[in-house]
Amino acid sequence: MKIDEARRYHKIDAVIVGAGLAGLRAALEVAKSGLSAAVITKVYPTRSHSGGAQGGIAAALANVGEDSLEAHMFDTIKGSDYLADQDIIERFVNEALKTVYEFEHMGVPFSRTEDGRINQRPFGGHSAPRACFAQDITGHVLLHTLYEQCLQHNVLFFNEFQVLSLLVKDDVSRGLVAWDIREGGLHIFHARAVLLATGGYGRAWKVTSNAHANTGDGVALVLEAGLPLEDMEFVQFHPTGLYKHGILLSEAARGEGAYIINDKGERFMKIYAAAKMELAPRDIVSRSEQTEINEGRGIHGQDYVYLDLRHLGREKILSRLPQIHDLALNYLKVDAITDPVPIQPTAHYSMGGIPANVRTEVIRDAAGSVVKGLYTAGETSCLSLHGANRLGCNSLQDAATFGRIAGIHMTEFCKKNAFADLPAKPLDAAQAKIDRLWGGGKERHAPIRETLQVNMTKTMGVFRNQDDMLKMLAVIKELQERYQKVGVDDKGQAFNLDLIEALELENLLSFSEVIVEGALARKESRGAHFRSDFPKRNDGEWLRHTLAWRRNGKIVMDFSKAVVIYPQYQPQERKY
Amino acid sequence: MAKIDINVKILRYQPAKDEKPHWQDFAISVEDESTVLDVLNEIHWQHDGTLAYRRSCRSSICGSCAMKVNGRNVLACETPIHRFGTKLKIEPLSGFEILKDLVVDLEPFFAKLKRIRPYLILDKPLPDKEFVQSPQQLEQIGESTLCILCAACSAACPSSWPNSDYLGPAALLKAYRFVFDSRDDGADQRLEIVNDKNGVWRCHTIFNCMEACPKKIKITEYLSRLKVKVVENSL
Amino acid sequence: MDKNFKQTSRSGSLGWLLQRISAVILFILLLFHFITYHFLTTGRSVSYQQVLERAQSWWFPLLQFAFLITALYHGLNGVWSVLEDYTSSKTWRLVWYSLLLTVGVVLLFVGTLTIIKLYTLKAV
Repeated sequence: MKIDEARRYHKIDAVIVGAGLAGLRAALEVAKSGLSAAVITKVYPTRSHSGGAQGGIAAALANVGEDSLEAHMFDTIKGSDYLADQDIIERFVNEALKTVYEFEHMGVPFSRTEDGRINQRPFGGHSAPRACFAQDITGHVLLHTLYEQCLQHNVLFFNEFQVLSLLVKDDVSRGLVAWDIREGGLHIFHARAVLLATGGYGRAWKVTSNAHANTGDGVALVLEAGLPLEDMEFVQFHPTGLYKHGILLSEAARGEGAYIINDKGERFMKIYAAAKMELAPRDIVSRSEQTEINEGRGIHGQDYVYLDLRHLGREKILSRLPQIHDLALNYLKVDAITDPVPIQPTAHYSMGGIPANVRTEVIRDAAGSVVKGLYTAGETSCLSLHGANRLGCNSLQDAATFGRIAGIHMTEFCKKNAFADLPAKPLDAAQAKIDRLWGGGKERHAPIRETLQVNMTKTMGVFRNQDDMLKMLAVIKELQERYQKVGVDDKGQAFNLDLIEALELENLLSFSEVIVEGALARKESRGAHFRSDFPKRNDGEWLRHTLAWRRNGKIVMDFSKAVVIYPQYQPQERKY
Repeated sequence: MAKIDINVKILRYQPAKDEKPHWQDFAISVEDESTVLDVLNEIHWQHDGTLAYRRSCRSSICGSCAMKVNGRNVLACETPIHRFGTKLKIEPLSGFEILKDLVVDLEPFFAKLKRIRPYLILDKPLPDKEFVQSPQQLEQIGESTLCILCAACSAACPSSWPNSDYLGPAALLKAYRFVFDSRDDGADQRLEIVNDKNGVWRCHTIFNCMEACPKKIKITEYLSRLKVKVVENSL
Repeated sequence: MDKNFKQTSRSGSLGWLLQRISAVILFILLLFHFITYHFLTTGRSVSYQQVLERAQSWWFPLLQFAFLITALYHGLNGVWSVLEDYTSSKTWRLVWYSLLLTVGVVLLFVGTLTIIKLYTLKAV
């Protein structure tokens, strides 16, 4: 082997793709056991979008009011519109307290009660003040703390690497191939166990709270490897996206008592969720907002409503919600202390993703057969913990808790299993992707992405219907064809942003088709998936998960994966 | 919302063909409400695909897009262009090696962070639940935990420019954050690391870091408190 | 990532502390200087005789000497810390340091001479 080849071949026990909360938590667990753990990330770890989570992390500590694990479990089930698997939720709520205390022991600067305990505040869909928070930068401090822990325990970091193909053969994961963004060139990572923790896929929409990095690379890689995706049609729209930008204004604002008002100055949530008002779950608030806008009660008849913080007072806004205040001021020149802030629903969280069992092992069919050595955790996974709609603050808890669980099971797996052989010609698939983009095609990636995002926002938003979705499908087909002719201007090796964006676009086009196909097939309304042509939930036919594969260029679906339901938590009508 | 014509000057450097960085002008038309990042995206997507820069969250929390715009270190994503009129001059952060265009080498920056042992060091046993920390104790470090490691501070520090071994404001602020955390027992180790001419003593209270910080953290003030702590500790 | 940054193994804590202490002393001395030289004499003309009397009182040379020492230390230490930022080579540092030290010693000598001369000057 030549020196250059050796530099580009890495043999590491556990390779983790993604440096958000789930990835770092898993890496930490593996590294603490003495095995080698490497994190491959396309942005520096502290740039991961877990840091964008503002409001808090859910755990029934009962530091501020009465609370219980059962209440957390029931709220999550009800929030999911009964699509979540209840064995997963059970494990989740049982581990949640440990996760938060562990973070505190690592040094996370949680906001405190007067007696020095972790402070908690109310959050949408939770029946008790359950959100443990650090001002409105909870995700940021959790992410930084975990990164620092990983530095302490000598986790290897491959910063600015883009994964291009998974090396899965005969249902066994063997490693992956990644492009070195900084210097150029392909690297082979040979691993006993691989974790996919690549985050959400919200970048398929124009109006989105997601980072530029959230292009669903993990889900696209899995689809490309011939494995299924689950419940991709369920995408949460956050009710308080900053108008036009889509940037997130935390639900913490409403947790602290902010109102949402329409053009007439009415708190319209009284019509839609009289008991919970603004603190109803996100799917319901977003739908209510969109209804107000559609019926002409948006501000000045336009496509936004107001988030009103004024009555909270200067001191509370600046001490509890400083980031929200800054964002509104910087982006819209609105001072939240004196003026209401224009907001609209924004694509936010991906409930669907890579199917996995409670041990976070990736599964490949409705019967639950596993892919050996392949794991997934965090937003990119679909366990399914959030079902049809996620509750606020459950995402950070999900990523951290199942990140840890993934780390535990990967460690176990690595200790028992040898490195599986690499397939023949491991670089070929990845090399082909690069070569094609450098082949001089005349299409450009930017207009294709723009067309996709604009149409996804138009047709795959809070309200969906068959006609729109059929049109969307046709748009995606056409864009996929155009993509075959894309070439990039930049032919350089080092930091080729042009190349990376083109590669990401291929991923966006790939999984968007699954989202639309899934939403077309699911002829009911449940949680975040609302069809104007089928406005009712239909438990008889659709209390089941969607699995989708790409086979011979076509999306193939399977609806036989049942939802795990405990006798004491049978589906009921969902009212707030 | 209206379109305006602007002139953008960008310091370009393509390692494969340029010997040294040079300025390139772009005359483009953008929405008047655009941010600097919107402008870069517009150039990259519509005019010149070879332009390289870092960006991710768009909401001033990830710290990717710190760069120098009209002489000031800012986050491109949160900086509206109306602050500068119709002429923009964009260049990479000073004091770091340029990898390509606006992308600089941040490896030394993160390596320095690691040096100050940026994690809670504990001698005491862990409690069953959380450590008790009063809101007043938290207040000591609250603002310093806002740091997003964008490197705007270090890039603005005249003491950092000629001294690549100087820990710099970001790493020292992180040291402050742990030394002043009521739960931490590792102050002695950390103070020993920063008690060095290339540590906290290279800071001459110039205040540039504070002015550059997009999170408005009072860095210089915290570094001064750190100095006092070092002196107290060594007396 | 594990690049080792050069620690100098030289603490700057004493220099920093002395710079602050000398600053405080300078401040007090300056106040004293302003009061005795300017504010107390405002509005009246000062004669040669009066100046000489003050210069030859017991406290005056002590005060001047303290002033001389602290001002020299504070100023030269300040310049040194700036120079140190911008000279990384050991040789150049030694050159600058020696130069500053020489300047310090010469000024100390000249200053001390002046104070002594004033004190011992005979009235006309």
